[in-house]
This record gives sequence, structure tokens and C-alpha cells, in this order.
Amino acid sequence: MTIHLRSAFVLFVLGASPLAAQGSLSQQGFGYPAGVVSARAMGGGGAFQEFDPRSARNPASIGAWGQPALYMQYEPEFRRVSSAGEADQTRLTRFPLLSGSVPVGSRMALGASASTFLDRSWETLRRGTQQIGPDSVDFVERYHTNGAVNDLRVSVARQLAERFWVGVAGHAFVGGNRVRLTRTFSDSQTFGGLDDTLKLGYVGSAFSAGAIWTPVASISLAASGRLGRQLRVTSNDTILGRADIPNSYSFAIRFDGIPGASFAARAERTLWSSLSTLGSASATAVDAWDYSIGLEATATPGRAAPILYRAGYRDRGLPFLANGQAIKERSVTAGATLPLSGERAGIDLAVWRSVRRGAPSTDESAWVISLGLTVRP
Amino acid sequence: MDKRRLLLLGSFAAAVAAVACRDDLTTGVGCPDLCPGRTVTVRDTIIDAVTLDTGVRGYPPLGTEPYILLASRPGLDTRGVIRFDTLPSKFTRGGVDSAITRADSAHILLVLDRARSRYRAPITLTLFDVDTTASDTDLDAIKALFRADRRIGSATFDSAAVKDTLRVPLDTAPLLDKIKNGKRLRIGLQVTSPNPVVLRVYSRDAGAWIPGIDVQAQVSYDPHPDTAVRPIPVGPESRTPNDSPTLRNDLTDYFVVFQAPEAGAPNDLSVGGLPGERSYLRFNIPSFILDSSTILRATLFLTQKPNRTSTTPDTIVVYPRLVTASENVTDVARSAELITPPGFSFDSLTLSSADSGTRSIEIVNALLRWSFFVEQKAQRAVVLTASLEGALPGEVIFFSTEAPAAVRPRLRVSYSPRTNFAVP
Repeated sequence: MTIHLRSAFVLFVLGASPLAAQGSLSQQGFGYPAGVVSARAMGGGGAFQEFDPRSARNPASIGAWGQPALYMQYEPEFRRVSSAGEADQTRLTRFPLLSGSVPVGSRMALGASASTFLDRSWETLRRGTQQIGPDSVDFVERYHTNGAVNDLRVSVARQLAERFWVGVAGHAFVGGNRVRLTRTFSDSQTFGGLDDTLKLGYVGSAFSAGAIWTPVASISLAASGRLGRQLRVTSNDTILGRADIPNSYSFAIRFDGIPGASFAARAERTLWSSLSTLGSASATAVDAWDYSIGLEATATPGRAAPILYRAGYRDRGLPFLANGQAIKERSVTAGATLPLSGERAGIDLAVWRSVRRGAPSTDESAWVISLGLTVRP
Repeated sequence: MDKRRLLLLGSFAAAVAAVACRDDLTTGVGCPDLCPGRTVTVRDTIIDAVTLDTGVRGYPPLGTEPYILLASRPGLDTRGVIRFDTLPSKFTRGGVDSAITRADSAHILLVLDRARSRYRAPITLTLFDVDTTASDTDLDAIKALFRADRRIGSATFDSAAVKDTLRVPLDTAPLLDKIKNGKRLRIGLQVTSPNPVVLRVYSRDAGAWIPGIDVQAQVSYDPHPDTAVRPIPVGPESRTPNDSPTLRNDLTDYFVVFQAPEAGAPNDLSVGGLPGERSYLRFNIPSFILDSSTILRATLFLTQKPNRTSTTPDTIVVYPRLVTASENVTDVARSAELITPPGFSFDSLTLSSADSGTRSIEIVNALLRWSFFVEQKAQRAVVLTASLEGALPGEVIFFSTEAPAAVRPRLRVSYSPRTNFAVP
């Protein structure tokens, strides 16, 4: 066979921007950090998560369960992305957190959790024109990805003193994305469409440790940190990228000096930039702060299982740049805990409004509803 | 917790679950700035991918054509045969069966596809008795029976008389002889005219080719002058050969080529003609295209050469059709039968037999199929067939791989190498 390679050339790069992104501000790069924080903690802006045994944050906090417990969370997000006077509404369902713990004796607890570390579930639809051979042809492109990197954690907490808990945890980061790109041309007899599907797998690990100290009855302090190890992204046993799970450290303070009310403030620094080597230059990650303050109060103080109300505010940076710009997410939150069967079960409800900004031409906002169910068998 | 609160909570949870139980992820307003901008690199390659090309003659098989082609023009003479192998010999009058001793108003009705017929009146249809004891497939024996002493009827039609249905009287004496003696009636049809004429009479197989058509020729004769006795209609039927039901059925009606334009040269690729010819082209596509790329377009370039064997150019629709036979089928003629229906996956091409030049045929769906269904080991081949195959005298001729390089079949493939687009 004779081959005449007449021409080999790049004909088309869609759009004015050379950057790759995912149609929204929050779903850049390898995804949106969705999990870890329980509905109960998010009702208070996330400020209570260092003290919250349901949240997969501070391994020292699981000692606060006091008895065997299981927690699961359901969290739909209703997102609106607007750009140049147009808007898209999307709806995304997550189950971002499952956790549980059992006490071992009176001063120790073992816990396990599964949480969403980076959620990469989105789909974009766009139209364009492509030159194939001598002809220019219209196409419709659908780019769909589903899946997440999940954080599986096994933790142990130990009470070293009456008001001092410490905890350590080992993390396995596993999961995958199923990514499908289809490009359909207007004339299917003449042009074959693109239809590629790839499965990405993720494997990584990390360690974390934390402590909770209550120096006086009305004030508690908490700190935790994560030391990341290698994260690999693979496809069909081929390693496509390597990076480190980002290190992070966080501090929180809680004030319980007013009967029936608690206040908390928290700050976290996550070194997301360690993920930048995982993909291409278009998935650049940047280090970010996560600040939150929150209030928890009850209208029925003194009851064994009171109804708790919460409110909070959270301000954090998202890990991946969008069109070269860092994205900030600000959330106003509210929530409540409704006990069921006394202390044996409870439902946590949180609702928050998030606004994500950073890119000059696109705004994003979302309503998120989080429902958590705690069962103490 | 009281029931009212529980009901409220349950209602809220159910409402949230109902509206959010299914993802709706699609967005597009952030594009292109925020959408994945996969770089699509398109490469154009022209390859001499045809490794085998040949013409296969004789399609469709005798008797399976949609039309009985009756033609008479310079260089073209085709005639039809319709078998009526069973003629009723009795009729019923007043509840009593009687033997037929007379056959008045005997005629044959032919249903014409006027839209696809070409004629200028007057035209004459002549009927011949072509029954013979010779072998059913001995067409030379049949041809020999189109002679004056076998003539059993005729009719001449002017322009106004040419309708969708043509009625041609049958001579009574030979018909009555066949009725009385249980003989077969096999009618030969010939059309003549001072002008070039091509009539397409629907065959019994027309319905298999042309949706909505369910017609056939019919012989009729009146066995008694009493108007209460209805004329007897007789439909086509073939009773030989006994050992081949398929052939027996096919030979119910067919046409015989007395003279046709010469086929193209042996080293040409021809499509159409009488008897119908197909072009079979087998491809060898490099694996770096077929296995490791996304194929976006594949255009087969053929160079048409003018067909000068006929003084009357025909317009022919050429259909590329995918060979579905596996690699185990080594007979090219058999492979050229195992193909997809016309118009399936490919656009057709309308050509005049007298024209010349480069013709492009889009066959991307063939390459996609070969790429997707590698395990099926289907032949990587395409067959070119003509519309009205076997009923159209015109023939389109292309240069084959034996021609000079400039006019050989070539394949231009536009493809995109696969990339790891999933990693952001």
C-alpha cells in the first residue's frame, strides 16, 4: 500500500481560550471539594467541623460520639451558572459523607468514614464548526464526566486527659471518573462523529492527626492537619499523572459560655497546589484558605435531646483556577437538628446559599440542601 | 418528637428527594471559556487503499428483477417472458361445471411503470408462444421462439392509449388449444416502435424492490357468451423446473437480453448495464488509522470514463453498499451479494453514463464499522450497485486499480489521533 501523507495539520481549537475547563467555576480541574463536612457542621458554616464527630476532619473528634453511631448524608445542589446574560441551571445529587464510630473502652474510639474529596460530575453542551477535508461542518459536542476521588479514612481517638483528646487517621484516596466526549456532525452520512470514553482511576494516601482541648469549661480549641502522600491518576493501567495529596492544617475555637448557645470560628489552609502536577497546565491548583464562623443555639435548653438551630458563614478558595483566575466561594448557611427517639437518632438539616466568583465573565451560585441522619443503635 | 413535626420533616425530605433524585448536569453558558476545549487535530491522508477491485456481472439473478424490461432502440433489444403454466379448463354456469370450448375476449394485462418508461407512440406489443421443452435456463432456446410462426397476439398503442395498464389481445385458437389440452401458456413479449422505446412492466417481484407495489400481469378469457359467466382471470405461475423451487418461482416472469450495449473493458469497473454489473472494491486501511484514531471522514475517489457504447446516455444512481460477508467467504461473486440495502449508511451518487471526471463517494460509515466490529471479521469491502439494477441498460464505467496512477481509485481519510482527553 502506498500512503501519500498530503497534509497533517491542526485545523481546529475550539474557542478563544486555550484553557480547558468544565462549564462552571466550581468544577474546574479535578473537581469540587464537596465532602468531609457533615450537615450538622455545615449548618454553622462549617465552623464546628473540628469538634464534630460526624465530619471526617479531625480524628480526635470521634471521641465525642461516646457510643456506637452511624451517620449518612444526602446533599443535592441546585446550581446556576450565568455568563453574558444567559444562564444555565443544573442539578447534582451527592452522597458526600458516610461515617461511623465505636468506643473502645471509656477513653478510646475507633472510627471510619467515606467522604467525597473531589467531585467531578458535570456535562457541557456546545456547538461549533470544524473543518474536515475541504468542508466546514457544524457539530454539537457533549462532554460528560461523572465520578469522584473519595477519601476513605480509618481513625482512632484517645482521651489523654479529662479535657484533651487526640486522634490519628490513615486515608486512602480512591475513585474514578468516567469521561465521555461525543461530537455529532450535522451530516452523519458524510462525517463520522467522535465518541470517546475514558475511565480514569485514582489511588493515593495520606495521614492526619488532630487534637481537641478544653482548657476551661466554656472554651474548646481544636487543631488538625493532614500529611498527603502520592496520588496517581491512571487509565487502563497506564499512569497518566502523579501528584501529592495536598497537606492541610486547621484551627478552630469554640465558645460555650452562654447557656443554650455555642459559637465557633475556624481557619484552614490547604496546599492544593500540590495537585498541579496531576494533570495538564489547564488544571492548575492553588493553595487556599477556608474560614468559617458559626452559631449553634437551642430554644429548649436543658432538654436531653434539644432541637438545635444553627447559622454560619463560610469563605473559602476553591482549589483549581478557572480561566487563570482563583475562585472564591462564599456561603451563608442555616440548619437545624431534629432529634428522633430521644438521643437514639437525629436528622440534621442544613441549607446554604453559595456564591462563587473569580472569573470576569461568569458568575455561579448554588442552593445546597444537606440532610444527615444519625443513628445510635 | 410529635407526629406533626415528623410529618413536616418527612414531607420536606420527600420533596427534596423528588426534585433532586436525578442529576441534570448539562450547562453551556460558560463555554468556551469554561468548557473543555479539546484540541481536535484532524489529519488528511490520501491512500491507495483499494487492494482488490473487480466487476461482478449477473445481478440481480434471472427473474428477480423489479421490472420486465421491454426495450427496442439502437443497440438495445430486450424482451419479456411471463409464464401461465396452469390454465383453467372448466367453467361454472348455473352451478354446473362444463369444459371450456371457447375463449372470447382473451387478452393479457400488463401494468406499466410509466414514470420510468421512455417511448413515443406508436408502440406495438407483440406476443409469442415461447413454451418449450428445452431447459428452463436455456435462454437461447427461448430467444429462438420469438418468431412470426409463434406469434399469438399483438396490439399497437398511440400516445393516448398508453396507460398504466396495457391490454394486449391474445389469439383465441392457440389459447384454446392450450386450455383444452392442458398445455402451458408462456408468453413472450416484444415491443417495437419507429422510435426508441423502453417500457418497464412491473414484474411479480416488484413489491420486493419498490415499496407499495403489488401488481402482476394477468391473462383473462371469457368461456361463454352468457354475461352471467364472468371472464376467467389467470395469474402468472411457473411449474418448472421441478428440482428448484427458487428458480421455478423466479422464472415466473423475466426478461431476455437480445442485444445490449457492450460492457466496459475487462480492466474497468462497471456499474449497471444488462445484465447488471456490480463493482466490488476491497480495502486495506492502515491500522494506525483504523485502530488508533477517530475516523471523521472517508471519501472514495473514482475516476469515471465516458461510456460510448450506447448512443443514448442513461442517468444512473450508484449506491455504495457495505459487504456484510465475513472474510471466510472467498468467492467475490457471493460476497457481492451479501451487502447492506441501498441507501443504508451511505449517500447515493447520480451519474450520467456518458460523463467523465472524478467522483467522490463518502464511505466513512464503512470505516467506522470496520473499526468498531473488528471481532466480526467482516470483509473490508464495498460494492457499488446501480439503481434499477438489471433493468437499466446504461452503465457507468470507472477506472480500476490497473489504470494509470492518476485515475486509480483512491481513499482520502480525515482522522483524529486518539488522546487522553479525560485528564484535565
